Parts: sequence; structure tokens; C-alpha cells
Amino acid sequence: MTALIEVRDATVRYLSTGQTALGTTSLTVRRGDLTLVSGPSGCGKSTLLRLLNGLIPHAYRAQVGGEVLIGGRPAAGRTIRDLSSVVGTMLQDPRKQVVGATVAAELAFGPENLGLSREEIGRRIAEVAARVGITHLLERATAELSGGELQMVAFAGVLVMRPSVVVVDEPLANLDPAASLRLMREVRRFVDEGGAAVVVEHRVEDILEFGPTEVLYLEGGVTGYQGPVAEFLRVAPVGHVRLPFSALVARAAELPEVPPAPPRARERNAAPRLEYRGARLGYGEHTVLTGVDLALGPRERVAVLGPNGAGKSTLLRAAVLLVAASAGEVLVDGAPVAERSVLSLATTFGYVFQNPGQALFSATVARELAFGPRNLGRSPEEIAEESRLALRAVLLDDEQDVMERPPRTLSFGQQRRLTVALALAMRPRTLILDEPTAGQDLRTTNEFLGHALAAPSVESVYFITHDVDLALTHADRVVVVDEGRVVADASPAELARDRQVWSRAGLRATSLVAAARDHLPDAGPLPHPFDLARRLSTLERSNPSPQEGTAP
Amino acid sequence: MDVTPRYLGAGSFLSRRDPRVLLLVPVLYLVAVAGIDDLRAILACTVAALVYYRAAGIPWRGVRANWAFMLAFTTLLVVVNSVITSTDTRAGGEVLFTVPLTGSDITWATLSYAATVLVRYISLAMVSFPVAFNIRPSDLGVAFARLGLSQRLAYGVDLTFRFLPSTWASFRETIDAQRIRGYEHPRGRNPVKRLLALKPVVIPVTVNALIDAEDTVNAMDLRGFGGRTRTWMRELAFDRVDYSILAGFAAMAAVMVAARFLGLTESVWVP
Repeated sequence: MTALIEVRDATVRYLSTGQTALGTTSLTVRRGDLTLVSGPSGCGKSTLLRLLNGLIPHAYRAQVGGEVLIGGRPAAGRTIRDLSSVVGTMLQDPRKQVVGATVAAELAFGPENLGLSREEIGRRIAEVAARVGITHLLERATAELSGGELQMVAFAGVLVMRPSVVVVDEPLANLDPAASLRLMREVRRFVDEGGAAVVVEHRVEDILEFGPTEVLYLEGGVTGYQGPVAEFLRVAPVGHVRLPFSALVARAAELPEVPPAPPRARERNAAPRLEYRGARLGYGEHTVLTGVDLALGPRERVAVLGPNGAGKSTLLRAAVLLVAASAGEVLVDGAPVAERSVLSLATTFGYVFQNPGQALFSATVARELAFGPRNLGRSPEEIAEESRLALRAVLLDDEQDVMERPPRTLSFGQQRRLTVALALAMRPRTLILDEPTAGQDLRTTNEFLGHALAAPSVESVYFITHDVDLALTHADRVVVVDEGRVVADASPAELARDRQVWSRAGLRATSLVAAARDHLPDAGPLPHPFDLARRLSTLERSNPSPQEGTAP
Repeated sequence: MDVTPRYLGAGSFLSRRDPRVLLLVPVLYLVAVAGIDDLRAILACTVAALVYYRAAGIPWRGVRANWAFMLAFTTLLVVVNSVITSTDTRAGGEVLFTVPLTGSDITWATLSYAATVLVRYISLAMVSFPVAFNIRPSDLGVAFARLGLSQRLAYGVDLTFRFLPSTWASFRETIDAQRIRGYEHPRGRNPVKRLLALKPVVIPVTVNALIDAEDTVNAMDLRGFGGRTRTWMRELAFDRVDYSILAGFAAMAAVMVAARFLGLTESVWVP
């Protein structure tokens, strides 16, 4: 059987930077294969995808070595349009992929470009829409779709071109677990019906249930591992990709020591930093959350968890007056937030948006850091000192000439840390992080949150996420928002045991949740997964019968 | 202000027309009213524009803000250009009053000319609003393509409308991101300072839009865009009513152009 994709000793060097992004790499994908490509950020995953779909060298000028065969024929010299009839591509962010004003127009886009007849296009749209369950959306405007719906529409837009293989770039990065599950089920079904798929994802655990046939692990542009999944779970770098908890338990002896979390001075009877009393929150006439009664303490680490579009950001934006309560009230340090100005709240809450690109506009990091404090009326000397401390808190002070560098020349991970520094420079007492780690690999996630949580001047951190493990392992309290309401408010251990929460539409219990439910006390924070794995491994050795929640 | 394109006139007489009609009528109307200085002729054209606008069935509530902005802007423009700083040499006759500071003499001719310009702008808006509110967003690309625009440009128009909501959302998100750092909308009279003060919002929005655009272009290429042949799923065909509307506006344009050449509409009408 001819391979759909055959990469033989390929190398890629970008001409714009002169850097080799992909070392000697080989890959064979046949019908029925679901290949998982994994690795940390910057490891060459995206470069490999671009090589497969023809963006390299057509859209990105690069020197390509080795040989790439697509559909049995050399890719060299073929157009992207030609390759697209074999390789369909799902980008990480469907908002950039979907170009049609309506769902029907979006599905028609690819076949229209191929010059197919209207009858054939109509047939394909009807068939694919029915297959992925979006027939009811066909006349809807794409701008009105939820993140999960948009992802499914984007996938249908790929399937309607009838490719033999689909390459899917980080399908879990922007979606809540339930939406990711629906998409991956469709990918699996496509493979089972005679297609093939290459899925790029660092959250290995979430892909395992879809039965990948092979794993290609890249690190620094070099193949670190290539082979079956079972062996990969035995050798994968534990701090770089998210492995199932059972794999951590099995490899407990080699897990690195985790530095203890910085101590927190908890004040049991302290007045809430942020309090909602019967609050209704939304935008104009559109209500997002109703009946919110919640009090977040001044020295807590609170995760706000929930599916896409549940109202997580709306909840915390009310703290800085970016959203106003249309009923009830929101109080900050005991006083109605409505009596404060947005600027005055900046010294109470440092709000860090998801996309660092929305904040960065200055010519240098120094000017960027000075913008907020200057608006607060701080003196140049104070600004210089605050900027220095803020950069040190996020470990950016070691970067050479960092103050004079344009902010956008920093790496994406560094830009995210810089946005935390921008907030810290205004000396807030509480940090609010909006989806702080979306699309980041495990190592970057842990580094980023570690810096934010350990910032010495900050009393409390509230963060928004749809990543269950992140919420459970970094917070000492988790608030779950779903369907316009706060549906749970508990410690991580309590939440792990609340089966009702995990049966809700947008959430899924991970293997860490199962382990916490089965092996930890009823309340309190969760230990780091490595520490928990070590503890359970010791238990296993003393009691050889399998522990619940740890079986592969 | 919501900049999202809205399909407000759904089901109306004009919405049932071939979208090319809605694109061509403003062009024909512009040809008809350009260069007319006679208020009576403009008012005659405006009647046709008004009938056309009524046929669009655009709910008043949906466009109230747009009309308020349009009327305020054009009135200001006309008052400043035609009245306050008027240098129009046709303004003969009895001086009604003199504008303080600028010293412009205001006559009946000045006022008639200002009214002509104002009514021209308003009637142009009447025939142009259906382009924004009566064409389905998904029909724009195909309408331009069928009018002879290249496929890339036609789809570019389509994409502009497609991405307006997300660009607007990004703009608002960026303002929020900067407000919590103390950014405030620039006030004051110095336009250069006001422009510079917009930097914290304009730069991130522009840079992000450029980055996103590159990804979108790649996504389009990956779905075969840019080939020589392309099918437009939406089929467009003029019917008899479409031809009648176009013929009516074409006739009006021809009559007004002829009248202009004959010197019938180039004088400012003074009652």
C-alpha cells in the first residue's frame, strides 16, 4: 500500500532567520494511521506540518533537504492547491481558518476553489454537515458560533475537500475538554473510515483514548522518539508533555523533585477581596451570569474553571469594572466597585489578558513597563524601581539589554511573562490571570504560573482556565462556572470527589482527578502530581493490587 | 457604536433583488446628482431616492444611530464649507447677514446652495444604506465578482465584512487591556496629540490584525484559493424587476447629465 505521506530524512532551514527548525526527520503515514506528533513549544512541530501541507516552501521561504512524498508523488514542485487535495489542514485557531460569512458559505469555500459544479458542492456540504452534526448550523453566521461549534465547522470545511489525510494542529489548545472530545472523535472516525491523521499535541493524555498508532516526539527540531505509544509513555520527558497519571506513577522513581510551594499567610476571618452579592453580569442587554454569590479572599489562590463561553472572564472582569453588574452588587475590599475608577482598581487587581499582543505597543520594554505606573502618577525613580522589581519577579531581568528591547522581539513565552510584569509594576495586591496557559506546553505552563504565583508583592492570585489539571494543582480553591451560573465552589480535593461536577457538559474528569478522588483526603489542596505519583507508587509497592485511578 | 454588518432589511423588496442592483444603483445615482446646483432638481432626484430607501424596509430603530451620525457629520460639513467659510462667487443678491469672524456674506443663494449640497448627501445615503443593510454578507463577494472584479479582490471585500466583527472585538478587548493600565480615550483639541494618544490601542490592534491576516491567507491557500477557475456557489441572475430598477436609475442619470450639459441645473436656484 502506497503511503499517503512519506518524509525521508527531511530537514528545514528558514531563510529569513537562517535557523534550522527541523533536523533530519522521517515519517510515514498510511491509511488507518493516527500519528501523534508531540514536543514542547518551538520543537519543530509546526514546521513539520508546514512541510506536509506545502506552506513550506510556498508561504515560508526555506531550504528543504531530504524528500517528501505526498500521495506517492514528490511534494517538491507541486502547488499548495494540488497538495490540498491529499492533505487537509486544521489550524490551531479556527477563528483564523473560517472565512465564510455563514456556515454554508464556509463549507462551500474549498470546493468552490476547486471549481466543482454547484450540484457537487451542494451534495458534499449536505453529506459532511450531516456527518459531523452541523446541519442545523448551515444558515448561521460564523461570527455567532461558539468556540466548539466553530472548530467543528472548520473541520467540516476540511473534510468537504475530501482529503486522504488530515493534519490537525493542537486541537486541544483553545477548546474546553468536551468540545475537544467531539472534535477528536470525528478525527478518529475519519481515520477508521479509511483516512489518516497527523495530530500535533503536547497534551498526550487527552489523545491516548483515540488510539494513536505512532508517536513522533520532537525536541529542539530533532527526533527524540519515534515508535509505539506504550514505549513513549516509558521514555517521554515527564516535565515537557502531559502524560496520563498512571504513567507518572509507573515512573515515580525518575520524577524530579518539586520545590515546595511558597508559604501563604492565610487569614481565616479576613474580609473578602472580591465579593459578589446576587450579581447579574453581562454586556449591555446580554446577560452572561446570574445570581452570583461569591466571596474570594485576600490571600487565596482561586481557579475559575469552566467550559468555553461559560462566563469565566465575565466573572472576574467585573472586579476591574470592565463588566458592570446590572443587578446585585460587586464589592472590592468591602466597598462597591462601582464607586471606584478603573485606574484606582489597578493597584488592587493586576489583570493579565490572555493575548500579550493586546497590551504591547511601546518601542522598548522599559517604556512598556512605565506606561501603567506613569498613569498612576508615580515618579520616574519609583517607576524605574518598580520596573526592575517586576522584571525580576518574572525572571526576565537576566535577558541581555531587556529594558531596551522592543517587547515584540521577545519569545511568546517571554511576552506572556512580560504582561505579568506590566501588571506587577502597578503594585497590585491580587493578580487576575485570564487563560494564562492556553496553547502553551507543560513546561512553559508551569514556569509561567510558577512565576505569577510566587510574585513576592502579590497577596492572592485568581486565574481563569478550562484546564482541569491546571486548576486542581495550582489553586487552593476552585470555582466552577457553567451555563451562566456558579455551579461549584470547593477545594481541589472536594471538587475531585464531586461526581456531579464532572458529569456536566463542558468538563471531564482527568486521570489526575480520578487519582485525587480515590487517594486523597476529602478536602484541601492537591499536592503536585509528581509528589502524588510518588506517594501512590510507594503505596503500590507496599500493596501490589492495582490502585484505583492509576491503572492505565 | 456597533460596526458589525447587519442584514436588517431581510424579506424586503430590495433584499429580494440581485445584490448587483444594490451596488449599481448608488453609482447611477451619483452620476445623476453630481454637479447639480439647482435645489429643485436635487429634490426631484431625492423623491426617487426616498422611494428606493422605503423599499429597503430597514427598521428605523436599527439605523437610528447611523442616521444621527451621518446627519450630524454632513450638516457640520455643509455649514462649515458652504456657509461659514463660503467663497462661492455665485452668491450674489441681497445680503441677509454676515458671519462673524469669517466675514462671509450670507444670501438666499448661499442658503439654497448649502441646502442643495446637504440634500445631495442625504439622498446619496438613502441609496447607499441598502448596500450595508440589504445585501447578505455572504453575497458581497459573488456580487463584486460578477461585476467584473477579480476573484481575489471580490473575496477580499467578502473577507473585510467577515472579519469586521472580530476586528471590532479585538479593538474593544485592546481598549479594555489598556484601560486597566490607566489608558483613557484622548480628549482635548490638538488633533496630533489626540492621534498620538491612540497609540496604545491602534498599534496592538494593527499588529495583531496583520499577524492574523497572515494565518488566514495561509488557511485560504490550504483550501485551494487562488486558482484560475472558481465556482461561486451562489447563483446570481437579474430578473425583470431588477432590469426595470436599473433602467429607471440609468434613465434618471441620463436625463440629469443631459440637463447639466444643457445648462439647466448648473445655476443655484433662488426662490
